[in-house]
Amino acid sequence: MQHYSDEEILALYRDEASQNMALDHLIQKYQQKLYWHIRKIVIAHDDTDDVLQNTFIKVWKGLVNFKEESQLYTWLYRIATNESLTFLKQKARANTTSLHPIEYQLSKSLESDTFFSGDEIQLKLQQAILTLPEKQRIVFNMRYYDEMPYEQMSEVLETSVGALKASYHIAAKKVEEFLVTN
Amino acid sequence: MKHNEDNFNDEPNLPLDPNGKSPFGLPLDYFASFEDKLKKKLEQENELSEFPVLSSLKRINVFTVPENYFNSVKHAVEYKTELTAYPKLESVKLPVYSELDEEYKKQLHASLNYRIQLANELKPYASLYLIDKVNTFAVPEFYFESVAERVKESVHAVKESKPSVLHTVLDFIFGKKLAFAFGFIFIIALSVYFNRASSTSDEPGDCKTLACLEKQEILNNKAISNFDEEQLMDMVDVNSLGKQLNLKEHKTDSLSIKKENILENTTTDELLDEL
Repeated sequence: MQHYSDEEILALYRDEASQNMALDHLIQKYQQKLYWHIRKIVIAHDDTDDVLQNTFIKVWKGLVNFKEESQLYTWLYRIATNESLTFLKQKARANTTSLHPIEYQLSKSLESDTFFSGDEIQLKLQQAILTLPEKQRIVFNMRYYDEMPYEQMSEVLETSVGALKASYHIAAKKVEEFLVTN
Repeated sequence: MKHNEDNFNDEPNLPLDPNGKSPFGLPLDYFASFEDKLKKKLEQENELSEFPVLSSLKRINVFTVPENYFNSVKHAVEYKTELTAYPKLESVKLPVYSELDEEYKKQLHASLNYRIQLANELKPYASLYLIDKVNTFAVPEFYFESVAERVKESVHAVKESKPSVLHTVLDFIFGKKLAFAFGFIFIIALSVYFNRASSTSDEPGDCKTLACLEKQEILNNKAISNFDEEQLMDMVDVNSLGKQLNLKEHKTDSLSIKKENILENTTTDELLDEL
């Protein structure tokens, strides 16, 4: 399917007759980017699938109020990030049996995840990333894997560029230390 | 007219051969071919003489070649000659950089710079720098092909479960904004009601000053019995005392008794008695 520009998708959405088509194009264009962004936060595929669907439903319901002051993809990323974090909080609240924090549980689940194909060093890297606090983890993933410019990250996470740079370097330092010591 | 050799001899800057011969050289058989060339030239001139306009035009080369074309031709020929030894490689068409548009070149430049910047950022973290940046997560087969359908189903399910008109009206009436407004009005109404109620209740014992205490309560308090007259005067709320006294004794008297009069006409004992 040919990828439409954000403006074209929004134009399709504004016409009631072509709203379904707009939804199709929106999903086709952003499903993979959002999936991988969410996956790196919630780790498990099934959880990612749930969060991805919730994200698109929220996007669809909120699109009517979307003001084109920000770009569509930054708005989508923001919703996906918030949905992922909310999901993790709910999961942590629901899991009353474990004494460990949710990140530890995610780290342990990686070892037996059938949809994780990394070798030992890649597993170590993921475990190192999972030791980071929530915000630092998101910043690290967006910069290291998605190679997103700080300016875009600033729009998505609503944080200053300086704070993001500092956050990334602290995160990278912690990951490095984890890799060296483990 | 002087001989040619004499002319040369007159020219001091010409390095004459020591044997006296001319130092200028000529192409081989120059004079042999000169006649033919001259004849051809005359023929052409004669031909063109029939076309005066054409013959009047200056004969110049109006075509140009790209810069450094003739320099690069030599290298291109060498390159082609070398490639003939590798037929498969020869069949591959080389990308021609000049065909790329300017916008792409700019983007490429920016993209390369950005990647260098990203790599430099990671350089201080040696282990992290050495690890391959790969996506180690996987998805089930044909997962992305099915996402759109499932999301659309969920979206339509949300649409179908839309509330009825009655629900919408009820939601509006008991909606957050209206509920907040009603709550606010209710709180204000309650506070106004209680404020009025408290200002009209002039029953003794609830005005929280010494004047409203029962006599027995004051007498029971040993600390108060040690107070002198001035201390007691300070502790009494004169206005409340006036009201209390008026309520008890002279309900029909005027409420505008001055506080100085009360204090002047009341001794400590009388005051305690009154209370």
